[in-house]
Amino acid sequence: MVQGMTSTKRFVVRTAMVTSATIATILGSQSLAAFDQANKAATTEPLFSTEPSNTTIVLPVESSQDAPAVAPNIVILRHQGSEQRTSVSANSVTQPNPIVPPNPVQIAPPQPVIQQVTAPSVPRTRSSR
Amino acid sequence: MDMYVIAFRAMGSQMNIWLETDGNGESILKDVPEWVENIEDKLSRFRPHSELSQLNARSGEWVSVSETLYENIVAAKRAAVMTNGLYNPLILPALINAGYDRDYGEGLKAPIDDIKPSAIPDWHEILVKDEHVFLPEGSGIDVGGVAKGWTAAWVAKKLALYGACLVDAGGDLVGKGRLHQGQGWQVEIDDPFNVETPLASIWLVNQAVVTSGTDYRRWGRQHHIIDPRYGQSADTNVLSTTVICADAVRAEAYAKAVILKGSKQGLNWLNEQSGCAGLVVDQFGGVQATSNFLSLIRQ
Repeated sequence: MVQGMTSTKRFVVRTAMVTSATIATILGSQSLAAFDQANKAATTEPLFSTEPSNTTIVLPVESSQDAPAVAPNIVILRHQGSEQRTSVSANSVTQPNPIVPPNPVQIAPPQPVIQQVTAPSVPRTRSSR
Repeated sequence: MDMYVIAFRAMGSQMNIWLETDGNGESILKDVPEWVENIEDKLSRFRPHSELSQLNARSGEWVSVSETLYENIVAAKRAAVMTNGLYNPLILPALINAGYDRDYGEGLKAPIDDIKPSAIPDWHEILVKDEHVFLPEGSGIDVGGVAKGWTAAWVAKKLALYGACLVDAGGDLVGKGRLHQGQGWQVEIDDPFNVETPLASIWLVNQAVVTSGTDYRRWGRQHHIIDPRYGQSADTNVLSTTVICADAVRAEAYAKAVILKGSKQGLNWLNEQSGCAGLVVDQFGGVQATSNFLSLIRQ
């Protein structure tokens, strides 16, 4: 299987480290926001309602001749900086951007603040802090 | 229709709640901090007088508990069932052993090397019946893994009587109803590697989105996601995981399970759970998602 494969295809196979029943679809870009609508792959039928929008992010997929012929269950949205797995630490040099947990600080006034706003600011989901 | 937002801190986290209502938003929202404080006063393991602390002090006997604590313990058992024990609320001794013995905001002890793993009791030994709870002798329960999601859902359910609402409990969000223009609640997904730019935006319509990770609550080489199989901080390639589904407690449980399973096995497993979608950021910046996650993304 490996013989005769291009380096790209070898990369595809090597990074598709999933069970035999699944495969990763390689999208080929570092950013979620810079892709061509025409290359969007068909996904499973959405389980959730989608909002009407004229600015939906779409993600390119390499042509089917480069992707293994197994229905994808996992989608790679951004490639790792390294294939080697090491433990995370604040001083790790293998991370592309070392993460240093911020000092726990109170980020809001001690008293509850109620405001009337014209439009909701967009909250962000992240690890609890 | 007017939009109101209240911001306060509780449960060691930032709480932000939006309500779109025809009613008096200020009057409706002003009681929310007290609601949450009443819940926290029952559930916090950091308050010696809390009901949970009192329950832990009486392990090995049946104890009558409040509806709030009872529902959270039942939710914790449900989370354990859904994750086949990967979520196990009996991790409290392991958390303390790892150094998480006080509110994270107070600053945890210096890194502890060579921590001896703690034996975690079988969660099946937690018994519940008619608002009475039995904890195995010598054990300690922590519902922190489900409490924020439970609280967010509880608050959202109460506020939904007045209009569409979005409850953000420290990054775990529950959205109820649609805004008056018909859209759901837009939520961004944080990128641990780039605080300036989110990974994506999604819409919430009567759904919850939960993010759990090892990127923030960590000290030295320890972090707060305990692997009950080994009784110590999980050894995982996952930095953070985001799960979306209709049930906040379920989303919290699944997020923990994905972290403990690792990115690929975790997402494969999540793909098999109906009605959920998820995304993982690994230690090296790689981002993977379940295939159904794409349908949720919008710019």
